[in-house]
Amino acid sequence: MRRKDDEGKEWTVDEVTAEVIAIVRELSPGVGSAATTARTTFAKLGWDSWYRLRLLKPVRKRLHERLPAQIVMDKVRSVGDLRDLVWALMEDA
Amino acid sequence: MRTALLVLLAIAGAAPVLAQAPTVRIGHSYTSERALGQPATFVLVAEQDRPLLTTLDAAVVVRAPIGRVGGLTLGARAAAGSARASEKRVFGALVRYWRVVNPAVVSLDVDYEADGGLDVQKGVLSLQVTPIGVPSLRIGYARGGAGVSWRPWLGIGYGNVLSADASAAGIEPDGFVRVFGRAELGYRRAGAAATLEATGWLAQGSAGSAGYLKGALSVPIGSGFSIVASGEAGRQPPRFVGGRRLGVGLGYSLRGE
Repeated sequence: MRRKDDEGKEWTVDEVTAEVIAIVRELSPGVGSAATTARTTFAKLGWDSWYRLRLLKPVRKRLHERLPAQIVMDKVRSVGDLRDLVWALMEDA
Repeated sequence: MRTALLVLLAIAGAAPVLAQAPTVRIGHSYTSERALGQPATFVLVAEQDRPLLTTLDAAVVVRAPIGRVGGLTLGARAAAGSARASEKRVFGALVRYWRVVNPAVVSLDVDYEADGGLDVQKGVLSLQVTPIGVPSLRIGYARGGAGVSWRPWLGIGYGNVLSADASAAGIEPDGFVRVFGRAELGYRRAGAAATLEATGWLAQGSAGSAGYLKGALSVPIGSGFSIVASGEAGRQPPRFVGGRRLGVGLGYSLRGE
């Protein structure tokens, strides 16, 4: 199954997962790259809830989706939650 | 009176927004995210030949998105209980609008604050700012979840004294300005969470400069309940009365997940 981002680019859920993990790794300096998976929680990475707002810009630039900031703070607890939110914002291709 | 009207208008304006996808959270206080992350506590203090005393520290907030880069919060809090003298109890209500203004978060708050007897009541409109995160300075980020992270807030507030008895009239004048800074620190390990919140005010009137330190260590025991050790020291609004307290009790938190 494929979905389209806001600029019309098509993605599979695996591609979205890989891109989300890459973004999270870049925002987590000092954390081994193997340590971040879809199951990793932001609390385990040492992010506070305001720090999660750093996700908005790279997700907008690379996955072309605008994340709702309050939802990111309150509902997105893990990398998998973030992947699910981005996937839900995309449209069926 | 003006600020009270502003609070009412803000709550009325917030109601339709909060009808969409709200999140409800219960915690220790709404003064910071880390304080909200700590459980609300209710402590019984028993001593021989003395009546049973209590302390309660609790806040409930309802939050909802506004657009893509902002949010709205309605909250109420209490730092009360018979173990605290009336002038040291604090009741508050909050309407907050915040917005990401890269690389910072800016928050506009309307606060109502009162002491235990409602002898002193104030309304404050304040603007505060914090960086979203600076990993090299551990602001918002504890590398790999190990160690301490912290978060600074700087703010300025303008307020009115809505009500004050004669003994408390000079604490802050009507139409006061406050400058404040707050640092929140957090540490997590194996489910336990320790937080420290330090706030300093530069205020007008006899309040002058004041500082308030609050800390908590919570160990979850399941279903939202925790064993909590907490302490506080210093002077805080609305009365800026000094004091110190340490306690251990049962806590409860609701994270709205």
